Amino acid sequence: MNLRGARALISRTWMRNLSGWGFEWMLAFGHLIETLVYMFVWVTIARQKSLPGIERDELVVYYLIMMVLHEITYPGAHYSIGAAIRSGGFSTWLLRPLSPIFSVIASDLADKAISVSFTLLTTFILGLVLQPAIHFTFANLLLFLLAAALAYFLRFLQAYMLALLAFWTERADAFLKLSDTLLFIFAGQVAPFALLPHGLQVIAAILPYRYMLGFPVEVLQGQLSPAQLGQGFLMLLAWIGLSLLAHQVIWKRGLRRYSAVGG
Amino acid sequence: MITVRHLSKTFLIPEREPGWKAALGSLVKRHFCPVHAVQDVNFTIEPGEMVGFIGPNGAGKTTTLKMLAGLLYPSHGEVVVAGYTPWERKTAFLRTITLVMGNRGQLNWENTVADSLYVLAEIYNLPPAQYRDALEELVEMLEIKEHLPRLARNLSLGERMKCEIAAALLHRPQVVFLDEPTLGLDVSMQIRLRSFISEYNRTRGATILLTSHYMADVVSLCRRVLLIQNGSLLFDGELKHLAEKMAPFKQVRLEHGELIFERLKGLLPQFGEDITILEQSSDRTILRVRRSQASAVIARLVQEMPAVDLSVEDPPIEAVIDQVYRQGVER
Amino acid sequence: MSRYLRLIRTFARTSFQAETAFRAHFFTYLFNTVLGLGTELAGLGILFSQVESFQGWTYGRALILLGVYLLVNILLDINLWISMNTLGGEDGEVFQGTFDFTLLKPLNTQFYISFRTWDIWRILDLPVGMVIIGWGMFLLDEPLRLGAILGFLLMLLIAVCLGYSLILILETCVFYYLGAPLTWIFSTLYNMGRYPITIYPDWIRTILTWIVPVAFMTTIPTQALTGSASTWMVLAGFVLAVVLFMFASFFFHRSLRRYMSASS
Repeated sequence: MNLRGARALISRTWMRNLSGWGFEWMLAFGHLIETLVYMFVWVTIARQKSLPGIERDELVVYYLIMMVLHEITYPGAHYSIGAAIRSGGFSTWLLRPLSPIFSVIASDLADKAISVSFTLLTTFILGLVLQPAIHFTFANLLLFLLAAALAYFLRFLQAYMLALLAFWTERADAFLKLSDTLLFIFAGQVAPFALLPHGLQVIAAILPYRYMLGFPVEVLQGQLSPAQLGQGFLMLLAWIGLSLLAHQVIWKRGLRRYSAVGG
Repeated sequence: MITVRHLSKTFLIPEREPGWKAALGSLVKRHFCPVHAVQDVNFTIEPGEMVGFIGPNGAGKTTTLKMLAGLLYPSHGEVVVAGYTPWERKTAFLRTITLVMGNRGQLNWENTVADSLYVLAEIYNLPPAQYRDALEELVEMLEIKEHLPRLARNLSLGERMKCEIAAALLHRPQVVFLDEPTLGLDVSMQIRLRSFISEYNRTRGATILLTSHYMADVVSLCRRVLLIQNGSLLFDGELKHLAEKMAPFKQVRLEHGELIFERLKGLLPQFGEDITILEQSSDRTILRVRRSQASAVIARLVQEMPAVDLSVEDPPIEAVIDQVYRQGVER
Repeated sequence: MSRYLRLIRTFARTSFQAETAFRAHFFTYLFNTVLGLGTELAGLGILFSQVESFQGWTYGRALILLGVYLLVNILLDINLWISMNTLGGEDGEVFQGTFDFTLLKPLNTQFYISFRTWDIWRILDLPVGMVIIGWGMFLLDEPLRLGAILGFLLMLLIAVCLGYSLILILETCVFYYLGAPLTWIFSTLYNMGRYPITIYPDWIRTILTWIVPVAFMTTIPTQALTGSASTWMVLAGFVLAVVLFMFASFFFHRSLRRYMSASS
């Protein structure tokens, strides 16, 4: 019954054929609520004690944007890749002239169109109901779009790499779960970066998770000093670089092993 | 045992024109098209009978079967099976019947066959002694002893089918519905299953209703057939009579040599319309002869060519059925 | 009827004997449990690093709430959740066409689909929930009264009944959409019961209390245990459980009839 930990391996193609948008919306609804709960928690806390540099309105905006970004960046790749590797269907992917990564991104974006539209609509309505004050500067918006695109790529890459671990082990699921947990704690869902207890904050600044989700939102809200902005983008790019390197290694080794084992 | 009166079933199937305008329109108002799957079907089956249910795909056989088993509500008409109205699904009724489907099974995939059978015994509330006896009998008749401790998913299709049948008959139902039970099985397994069904019918006196696309099943098991096409019952009687009615022919097969072949070429046209040449080659000729003229034609052939190797057969039942499916039954 | 109880025992035993029931990878199971628990506690810990309490909910009280949330979750997972989920989905009975066999069994269909599959190993998770509750009670440093325990147990029963009814309603939709498992919606909404429902604005609170009564599954049992639940709320929960159960059963049987009229 646990949405976060154990998503049933229901074939999305089948569900989509059968119930079309309904299924994607149901998933998006699940992701949305996961994040929304924390908004209410923090808003309640903010009402009774003024938090360091964060007000109710900012919290609301933070979480609303996060909800949309969470849905956009939510990795849809891993289950299909893992399943294809286990079943041996991965071979067909390898026969194609393009690296599988492209077709995975393409289908991911197609899926997202449906689920993100749901999230956008709901977020918009929530925004109308909650009416937080919004101040974005144009510069921040541009930076946000840049950060968001990079975040999408980083999160996608991480999930893709973890999925490729299916080359080696049946237990790749365990790594995905671990990654989900770390994301939950450090990406800014449970609490915005600024509100994390000091020890966790230090870890969060180093791990890639914050940069996959929380960081772009912080950029948009314009609460980061130029130094912090620079640091953040640097970390983001560094993690992307690291991930690409790791991906190359995993991919090559994985292919070798996959063909050796005989797919 | 089974009485069916004026049974009808109409489904409403949603339909839509191609194109996106129609797709949007269907959100507001859906168009339904009535499909008359079963139309005014009447028949009665006595206890202990074994009846074949034949007809082309989509004729309404499965729909009728489902209504008899209580899985579907009819649009019209009444059905009485073993004294009950099927769709009321009374417990006592459900204990009297069973359904075997060739393409689907009820055995637990993740449990051993023995476990699945045990659960069924509990569900059907079988007293332990009865369960033991029934199990022993079925295991022996179906030869599934070594499959019992195995998982259903590890069995081959034939082995699984045998176990499915054991599961279906565990509670000793008086009415047995078989929906394509030999589907996908190899020839020897088909033969074994057929003999099992026949023996079960004989020893237990169970009423058996069988649908199958393998005519061998129907021919070897059922004297009486019900032919359904386009939802209507077109024929109810012995298969033999259907064949005689639809294809009132006999097939005459002549095995001969070159010399006879030449003589036949001259002789056959003299029979005129009484015969049709199905196949003719230098060593074999197959004729289709009108049943009424058969003895006369054969007598003449024998007289004219005593050295010829001649045999007489009924046309293959598949050809008859094919003709029926395509052209219907002439009254 | 004792027959039905015997059947439940048979179903539970059979599920336990099923191949996939065996935790072949005990360490994976352990890992998942520890990870899940760690996540929950981390989340709670982060929140309470900023405040001592909010809306009267201290860390101890929130811990109890978390424990109750997990406990009810486990109770539903042991049987009802997976049993009813056999109907829907790509592997589900309705889509695969094996639902006919279910209909042919001389058993009440609702009873059968509710109790036929079990995940006995989940019982091992129960101590986890109870330990968290116990720890929270310890932190609260409040005396445990018999009345509170009884009220709590009653609320647990009500919670399971409510959960069952909600899952049944969602699962029944399978007959309308040929298999779509809508039960995830329940998971999502139940997720909102992890924290006291007082954090939500009025309209959400109303929905979560009276329409999708998640509040009665988490917050109110917690209040019952800590002695701050009003009797009339417990009573309301009881009435709600009965009403919802009757509605869910009615809806199920109605939908079954419709399915038997329309399926070809």
